[in-house]
Amino acid sequence: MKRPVRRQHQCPACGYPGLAEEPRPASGGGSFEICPCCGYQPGVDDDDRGVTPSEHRRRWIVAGSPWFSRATPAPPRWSPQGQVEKAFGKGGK
Amino acid sequence: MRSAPAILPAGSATCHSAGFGGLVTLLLLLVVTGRAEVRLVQGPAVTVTGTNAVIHWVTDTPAGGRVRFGNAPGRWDQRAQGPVGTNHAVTLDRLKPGTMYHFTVGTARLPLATNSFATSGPGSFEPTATSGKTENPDGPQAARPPPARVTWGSLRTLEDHFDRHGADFRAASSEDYAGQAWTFLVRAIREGLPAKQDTAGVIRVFDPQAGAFAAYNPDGTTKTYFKPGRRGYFNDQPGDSVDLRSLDHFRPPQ
Repeated sequence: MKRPVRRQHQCPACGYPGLAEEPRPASGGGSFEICPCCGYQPGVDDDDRGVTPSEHRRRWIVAGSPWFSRATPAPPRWSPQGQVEKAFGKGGK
Repeated sequence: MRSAPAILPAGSATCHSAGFGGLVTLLLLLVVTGRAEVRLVQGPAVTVTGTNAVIHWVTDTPAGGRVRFGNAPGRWDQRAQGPVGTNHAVTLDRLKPGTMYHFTVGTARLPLATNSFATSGPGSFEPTATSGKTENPDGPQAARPPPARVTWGSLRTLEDHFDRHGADFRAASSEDYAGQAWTFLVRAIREGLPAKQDTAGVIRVFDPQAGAFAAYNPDGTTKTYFKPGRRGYFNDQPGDSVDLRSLDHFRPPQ
């Protein structure tokens, strides 16, 4: 029997495609799911700290694009630059 | 039989076919019956300053602004009003500090939306702990929490939440952090802390006294637990106000 495929979602800050929840669900507010890649937390970084996804992305890139999570490992052959470009285009704007 | 044009929205295309006389008749009908349909365009938003709150909202047509409010959802035992217009700002003053208020905005006859807000400062949300330690408002008598694998919604994310927010509660470990989030829910239900439920069933809880905020899945497992830095954060969260003491189906996981 096939296991149901759970839809994954993209981080609005770094483009990581493996989030379990929609960052900004239709019910309003943020998902509160912390991106294991860049640490962006919808509902906290934006709604409380006033940091937009693009601003977080800029800061994350300036900091060297470190993998955030201690519990969730980065995918094999993970490329932060490739991920950002795939999600947001060249320059990651 | 009621005249059909009277229930049409203002600006309806039928006005053209009715001609000038018809338009006058329609306006007269609307004035006499007071049944012009008023729609909420924006808001309501709340700006809380000390013991005052200003409720803002926008309607699509000019209408009188009326706010009914009280300390429990649906119990509108106080009211305030503003002038006729589309951009409404009604001030509620001399509110109690540290108190949750629920309100509805609309016209004198038509409620348009409900929401809630909390005033800051000490007040009705006093911690029950007798130790006087603000870091542990749940008190030494609080029940021992179940393990995090039972209480945390997505266990693979727990370490990340602990890394980001554990210091807010001086949590010693991720297990301790998850346990505090569970204990917070137990206390929120017991004391009826300010809470909202969105259309997905997510419950958001805020303790104005401790400045702590948590979000819980419909099954009671924790989504996150932290201390917001921005005033008005909880007020701006989505959802309708709920009294956790009367939500029979919502319980902390055991």
